Amino acid sequence: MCNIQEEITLNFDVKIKPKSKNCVKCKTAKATILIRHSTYCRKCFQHVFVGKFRKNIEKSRNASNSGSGEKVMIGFSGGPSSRAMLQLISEYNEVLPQKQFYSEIVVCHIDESLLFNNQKSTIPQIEQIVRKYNYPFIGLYLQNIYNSDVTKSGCYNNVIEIAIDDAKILQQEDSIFSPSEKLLNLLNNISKLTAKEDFIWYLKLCYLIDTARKNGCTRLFLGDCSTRLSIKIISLTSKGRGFSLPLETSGETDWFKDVIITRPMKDMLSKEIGIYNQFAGLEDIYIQSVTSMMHAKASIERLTEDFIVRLEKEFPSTVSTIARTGAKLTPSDYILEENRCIICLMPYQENNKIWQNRIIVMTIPSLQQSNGCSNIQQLHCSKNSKNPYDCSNVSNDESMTNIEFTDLLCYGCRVNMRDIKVANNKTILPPYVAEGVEEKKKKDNRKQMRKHIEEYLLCNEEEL
Amino acid sequence: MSSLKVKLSFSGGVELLFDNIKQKSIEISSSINPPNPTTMKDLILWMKDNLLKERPELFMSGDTVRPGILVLINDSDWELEGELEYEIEDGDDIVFISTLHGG
Repeated sequence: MCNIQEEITLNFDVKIKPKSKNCVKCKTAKATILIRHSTYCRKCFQHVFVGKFRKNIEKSRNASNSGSGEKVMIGFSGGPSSRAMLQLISEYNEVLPQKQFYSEIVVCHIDESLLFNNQKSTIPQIEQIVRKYNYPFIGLYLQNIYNSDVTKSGCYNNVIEIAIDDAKILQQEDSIFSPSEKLLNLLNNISKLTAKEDFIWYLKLCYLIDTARKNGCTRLFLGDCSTRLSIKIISLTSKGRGFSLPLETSGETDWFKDVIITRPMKDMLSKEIGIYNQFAGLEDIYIQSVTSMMHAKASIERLTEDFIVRLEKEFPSTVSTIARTGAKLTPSDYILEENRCIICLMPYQENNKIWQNRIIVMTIPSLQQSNGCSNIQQLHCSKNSKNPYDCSNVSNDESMTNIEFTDLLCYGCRVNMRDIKVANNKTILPPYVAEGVEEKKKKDNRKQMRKHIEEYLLCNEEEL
Repeated sequence: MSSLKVKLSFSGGVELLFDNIKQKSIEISSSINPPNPTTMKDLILWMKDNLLKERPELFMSGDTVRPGILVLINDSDWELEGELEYEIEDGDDIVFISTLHGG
C-alpha cells in the first residue's frame, strides 16, 4: 500500500549523500567542499576549478588561431563571477612571462548607480581592484550610451523619440535633457521590471561591444557562469528570445564580427565561484541590480533564478543539465546578418511580425484602418536633420521614407516596447538605435531602387 | 550554562539584510534548546530573531537558509557538516555568501 509516509521516506533515499568524507581526487585529504555529487579537499577543489577555466580559455584561443598578440577586453561588473574571471585571466596570461597569450588586456566596467537613488558610483571601487593588475581601466556610465560617439560612425547625434502612435528620428539637443535624464525617463516609462531589466542588459551589452571595438579589442570576455547561463536559457525562452538564445548563451560567438564574445566561466557553478573567491581572498563588491531586495516574482529573470537555485538545492545536477542542453543548440540557418534588431543587436526572424499579427489581436478589428497597422509605430524622418545620414536625400518619395520602426525589432524587444507607457517625460532611444534604423533604411532603399531598374541593368552580378 | 563565541561573516549582498554589517562576533548559549546542544538550526533561528533586519524571506526558506546562499563553517562547506544538524562549537567561524544576482 502506498501512503504519504512511504513517499517521504523514499525521498530521503533518493537524495544521495556522499558517504566517504575524503576528497574524490587525492583520496587522502578530508573533503571540505561538496560540488554536485563530488567531494573535494580545498587544494584539489582549487586545482579542478582553475583547470576548468584553463580548458575553456585554451579551447577558444586555439579555435581563433590568433596566436599571441590579441588585444582583449574583460567586461567586469564587479560581481563574483567576473571578479574570479579577472583573477583567472591574469594568472593565465602570466604563466610564461616571456610569452603572453594576450598582448593587452583592458578592463571595462559600466556604472549603473544612476538607476539607484543616491547611490555612490561603483567606478572608484572597481578601479582600485583593477589597479592591482596594472591593466588599463575604462569606467563608463550607462547613461552615456546617449552620447553621439557610442555609434558605428562615432558622431551620430540623432535619437528616436517614441510617441503613442509613432516613433520619429530627431536631432538630439543636449540642452533639453541630459543623458541621465533621458535614461531615467526611458526606464521610468517602462512599466514592467522584466522589460526594464532587458533594456538595461542590452544597453550594457551594446555599450561594451562598442567600447571593445573602438579600443581595438578583438575579444570580449563576459563572466556568465553555468548557473547564470542556465537561468538565461530558461528566461530567454520564456521571453520569446529563442531565436537568438544560442548566440546569447554560447561559450563563444562571432555574431558581432570583429568582436568575439567568449564566456570562459561557462562551466563553473556560482557555488564554486563563491568558494573560490572566499579562499582566494578576492574582495567582494556588492553590485545592486533592479531586482535586488525584491520578492521572487519581481521579474521573469528573478523568478527563473529562484526556480533554478531551488531545484539545484534538491537536485544538484539541474544547472549543469540545463547548461549542457543549451550548449547543444546551434544558431538557426535562417539567421541573416542584415536582420539585426536595432535595440538588442540580436538577430530577428524574417517576417516575424506577420506571424505575430496573425496570432495576436492588437486592435479591435472595427477600429482597424485599411492598412491594418493603425497602432503600430511608424517611423517618420525629420526633414531638417543635418547629418551625413540625412534620409531626405535618399528618396523623395514620401511613402518610401516611412518604414515601420517595429519591423526592425526582434520579438522580445517588440514585447518590451509594448510596456513603454507614453508619459509626460519623453521616451528617447539612444543614437545607436537611430543609426541602426537609418542604416537599414538606406539598405532597403538601395534594394528597392535596384528592383526598379533591374531590367535595364546589363550585369546582374554587380554588388548591391 | 556556558556560552559559545561565534564569528559570523556576510558577503555577496547578505550583509544588506543584517544592517550592512559584514562581520559580527556573537555569543550564544551552548544549549538554546535544552538539553540539546545548539545546532545550526538554532543559530539560524537565533539570527532571524536577533540580527536580521529586513525581509526574512530573502535569508530563509522554511527553517533553513535560502538556496543560493552559501554557508561555510570554518572554511568547510556546511553541506558536508550536516547542515542544520551541525553542532556549534566555541570559536566557530561561519560565513554566509550570497551567490544570487544582485545579492
